[in-house]
Amino acid sequence: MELAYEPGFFVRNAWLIPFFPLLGALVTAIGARRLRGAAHLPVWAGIGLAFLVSLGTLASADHSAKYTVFEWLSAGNLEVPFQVRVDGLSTMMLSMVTFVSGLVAIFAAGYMHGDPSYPRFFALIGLFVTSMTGLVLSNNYLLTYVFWEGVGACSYLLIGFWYSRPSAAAAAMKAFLVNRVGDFGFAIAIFWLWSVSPGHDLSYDSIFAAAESGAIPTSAIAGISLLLFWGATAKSAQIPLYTWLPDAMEGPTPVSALIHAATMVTAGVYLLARSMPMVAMAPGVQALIAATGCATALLAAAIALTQNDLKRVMAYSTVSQLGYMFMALGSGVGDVAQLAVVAAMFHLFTHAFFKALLFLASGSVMHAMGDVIDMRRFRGLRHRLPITYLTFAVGALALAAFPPLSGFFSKDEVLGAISGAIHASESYSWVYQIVYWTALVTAFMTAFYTGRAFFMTFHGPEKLPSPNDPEAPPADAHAHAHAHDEGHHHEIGHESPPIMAIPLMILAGCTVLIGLICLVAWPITGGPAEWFAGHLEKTLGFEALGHGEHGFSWFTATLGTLLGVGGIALAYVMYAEPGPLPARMKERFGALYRASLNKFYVDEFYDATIVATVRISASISDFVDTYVVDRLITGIALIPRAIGRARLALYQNGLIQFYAASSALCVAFLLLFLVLLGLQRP
Amino acid sequence: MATLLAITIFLPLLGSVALALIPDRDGRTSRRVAMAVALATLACSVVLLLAFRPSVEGPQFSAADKATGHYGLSWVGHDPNTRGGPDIRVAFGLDGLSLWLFVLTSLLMITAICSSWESIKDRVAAHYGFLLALQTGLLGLFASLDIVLFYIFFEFTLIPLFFLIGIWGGPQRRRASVTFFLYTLAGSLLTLLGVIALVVVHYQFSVDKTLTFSIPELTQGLAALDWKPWREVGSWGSPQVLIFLLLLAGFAIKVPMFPVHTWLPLAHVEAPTAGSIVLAGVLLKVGSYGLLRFNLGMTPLGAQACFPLIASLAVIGIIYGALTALAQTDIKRLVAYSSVSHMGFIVLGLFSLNQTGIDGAVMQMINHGLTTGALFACVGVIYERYHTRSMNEMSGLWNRMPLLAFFLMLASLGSAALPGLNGFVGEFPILVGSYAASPTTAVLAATGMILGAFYLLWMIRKVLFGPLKEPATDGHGHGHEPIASAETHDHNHDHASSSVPPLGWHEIVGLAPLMFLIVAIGVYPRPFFEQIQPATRAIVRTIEAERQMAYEDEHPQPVQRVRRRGGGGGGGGAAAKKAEPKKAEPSKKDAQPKANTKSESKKAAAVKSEPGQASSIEKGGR
Repeated sequence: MELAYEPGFFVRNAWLIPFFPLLGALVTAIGARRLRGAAHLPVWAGIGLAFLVSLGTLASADHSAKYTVFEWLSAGNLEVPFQVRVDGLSTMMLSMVTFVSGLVAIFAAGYMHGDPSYPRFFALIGLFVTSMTGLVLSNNYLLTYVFWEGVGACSYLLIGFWYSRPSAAAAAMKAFLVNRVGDFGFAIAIFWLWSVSPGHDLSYDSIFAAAESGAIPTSAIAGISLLLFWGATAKSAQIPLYTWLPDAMEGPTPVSALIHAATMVTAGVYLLARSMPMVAMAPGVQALIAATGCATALLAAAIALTQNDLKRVMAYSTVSQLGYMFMALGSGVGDVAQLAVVAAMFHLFTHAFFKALLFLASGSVMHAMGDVIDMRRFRGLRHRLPITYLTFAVGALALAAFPPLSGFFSKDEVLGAISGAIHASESYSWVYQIVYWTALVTAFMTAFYTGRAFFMTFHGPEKLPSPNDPEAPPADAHAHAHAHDEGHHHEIGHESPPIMAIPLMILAGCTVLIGLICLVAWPITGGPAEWFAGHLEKTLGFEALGHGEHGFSWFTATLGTLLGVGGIALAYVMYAEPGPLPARMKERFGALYRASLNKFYVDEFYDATIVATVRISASISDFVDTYVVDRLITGIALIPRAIGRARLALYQNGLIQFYAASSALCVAFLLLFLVLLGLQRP
Repeated sequence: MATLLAITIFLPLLGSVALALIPDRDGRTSRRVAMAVALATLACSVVLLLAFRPSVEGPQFSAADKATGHYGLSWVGHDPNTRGGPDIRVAFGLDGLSLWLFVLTSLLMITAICSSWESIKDRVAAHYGFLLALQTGLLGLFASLDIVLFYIFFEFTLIPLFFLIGIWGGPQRRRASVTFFLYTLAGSLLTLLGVIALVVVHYQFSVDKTLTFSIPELTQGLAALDWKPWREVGSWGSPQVLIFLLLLAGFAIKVPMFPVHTWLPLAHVEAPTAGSIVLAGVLLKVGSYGLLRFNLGMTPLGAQACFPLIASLAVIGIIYGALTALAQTDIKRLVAYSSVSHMGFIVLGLFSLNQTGIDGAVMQMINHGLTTGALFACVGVIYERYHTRSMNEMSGLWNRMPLLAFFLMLASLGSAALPGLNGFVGEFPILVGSYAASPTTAVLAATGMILGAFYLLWMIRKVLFGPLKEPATDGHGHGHEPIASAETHDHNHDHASSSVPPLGWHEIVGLAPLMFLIVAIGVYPRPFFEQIQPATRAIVRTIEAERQMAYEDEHPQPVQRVRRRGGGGGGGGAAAKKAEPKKAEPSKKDAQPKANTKSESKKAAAVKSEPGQASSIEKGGR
């Protein structure tokens, strides 16, 4: 049916995008010994080349642009070609992923300088980028799943990069296992898809076509969508499977930037966006997605309000912002479906830049503070770290959705999509109503915690960490000194070297630039994000989604901005100078404060229920195996012996005549049997 | 090529005889000779692998008698003129089901010898002699085309392994070896009954009443029996179900399936590393190979009827094995229970009775051999250095042996079915296939994916991650710091027991090829599946044909081909059958369906030679 389509040069060679970083990783891994301090070069080159190819594909993006590279797997009726899809969605993701990852890799060369496992780090980064780009490029649910798990495995190895730290080991394992729980849902979705898809074809085009034509029953579509969402909650850190993400910062900071911004967490959002032509047909699931996103955004923002660890604040803010993306995805109902998916992807796009920026800036702070990241232990760093200060400010303002930065426009799109869903949804309008107002409240909280982190770190009287700080945990000094010794030696309190500062500046520039593009393109194309939507529309199945009327809502924009400014203002009042206000608030809302500080005890709850159940069943199984099953089988084995003792022993009477007689009898029976057998023959 | 196959099979046995004759004082000569023999065998196996033509369906490298079409040479007295007497033949050949198991045996033998290289100091010549004898047993078993020959090799493998565990094993070696021996012997006696019954049934009721012991002929003949009760599998007492259960007894213990698995952890813990590698890597596959070759190939309707039972046991095995593995502190026991869990996947895939599941299961047999063999070899590396396998006594070995960390990590991730490594391309088709057979089963089995990752990562976290803590190597116990101090325990590299050597060349040589295959199969599984598929397709076709005939037995209208869930499940077919009460057919009408059956059975007999007709049957089945 797509015979007319002729794949272009970049479509045919899009497989190079995952291939180059893979090659870089292999070169680094094999030449680790010889490369040593230059181990970043092959990976830099790989990601750089991948970025160039990605840029090339941007222009060739087309609804039907796909290309089979080779036949990968064919087991019975499960046939999976390695087929790439180069459409609006995938090219956007590819360019973003390779660009941000490239900057992170550059930053990491400075940050990880001197680490004994420097080559291993870069090899893993290369593999990580390979997995992520492969995930995005694939035109097949199973192939997506392959890279999906690959991303999980790379994150496992990167979070556990400093393997001798027990906390890193625990965080790595947690990340992998929680993601496996999500993958379980994704896998079952694939089984289901396989059994309902015509010809057992798992490629996106055939499944969407089948869904549209009604070949897949509605109940199956709803079930599959729900399972895909389940898978997405793990990768994109939504309730109930978000708990791994905040712990994932046990890895080196560039890894956090990579996981939280450009790769990994965007995978879940991408999967649902990719499946939107199918998921949009299940309004009930959509409402659930929006509600889950909303709850996650609120919960994570509430936790971020009180955290003292700068990176942890950022981690929860990622969870919260991902919640916004899910709210937008979930709003894809009826005739606003396309609007919703564009909003979600636009927020993902802008978030990738400013969140990578914030994480790298946090890394820069951490680098300067000798691996201390507790905000109570330093203060007023704006004079010491001017570049970090300014770039962090840009990122923070974008996160707080301050106009006209990129975050402002994307958050506005998300809110617009939700308000569109209020009108478009038939039976779940009330859900979107709640989601809309909660999203606005969350926007206020976002601005507040961002401002809090910013002011606590960079404003007020200058203070540098010292080991005899009251906030420093007793083991902390030792542990950090130890961790430090794996990394780098330098005096604390200095601005990062150019290799780290330049990526920060580029990311900050992009954050501003995207905002400016929106501002400039607004009068020309009739909407701030129309340029983005125009590209995304060139995606498989997206044109069939409802377009809807999209107008810029001044009400939403004004309200959002006011809330954002309010949040920042409140943070300024409370934290710009050390004052008694925070302590008073702490006392006033003691229980709430403690709950938020302890992350509402969700981890403890999971440990006490799910993990404990598994552990206890494991012990029970072990006990049963040793004392029941084994004994039972041994017991059965004893029966013949008992029979032998009780009965057969009588016949062992030593009388030759008896033996002879019984032998003869047996032979006679045998002969009779054989004769009868022979007689039956014709 | 037939000669080469025979040479490959008996070369290790020759080697083992040679080891017995060569005088050897310090054991160095013995291990060199053993290694040379094993390498030569591997080289021959690889030649066979390269010469294997994936497009051919039947057994290859078999010296087929041009006149009679029989494979191999006559062994036990047979008069070709009167066609009387049992015609037991020495017939070898490899098809897609056995090819890779054959090669895997040769490959894992290298790993086994490598892992014994330094660790076996006592009665060296005998150790390698038994290992090589075991190899001949396994190679012969996989290549046998005669059912008696198969059984002889099947039983023969017990003897060397009995001695390997009993002589070079751990403290409880005697109990372990006796348990292992009795357990498997008890099962295999029942299997022998089943095998005899198969031959007799075929002799009595096949179209041309031949007494044959040839596996390919039996498979074809039994699928086209002129005996209706054979295809009536409604009750436990029906002949096919009975024979199925008899065959199952021995193979289920070998696999091992829940609840007859308890010999396995015991045998593994006590066995020397080489024994564990061969036991887990290849010997367990004997069970699943038998299930595939005999239970599925010869009693497919019995398999279909027993699907609920087998699938439940497999799923229980998967979950229960994984949970029990999670509770272990001994690494070897952990890996042993992981085998129980993973073999459950294989059985589930086989009994999904569709192409996808069976393909996955055959693939997974190879994969499990590679990953588990590698895991046991890694455990052997640790044990040889620290003389303990308790995970509580060690941590952070990554700091000490980064290469071991790499191997162990790769093998574990492969075993945890990480895409891109080998476990995934076996496990996923199995789950897809079993989903087609029964969605609930597949969903339950898929939880094994989560649990599997749990215990493997737990093991990795305990052994590789964390600050370096090594068990005492000199027996003074200074390595036994409590874990609580792990946090502050500094891991400077001047620990008292830093005399632990890095991985030796023999350890690297033993593990590297396994690692290569773990990655290669995962990255590009297609060629491997291409070698497997013609044979599995034939099995599936037999199943389909017999299903179709059973269907026509029950619905005696001529040429009525109703669309059924062909590629779908065994469960579905069985359920549909149960739903319809069996009608006693009037004897008047008996003539017509019988004629129909006959023509049909001839067709099925012709399946192999005429693919065109076969595909028509297949289409009918679907």
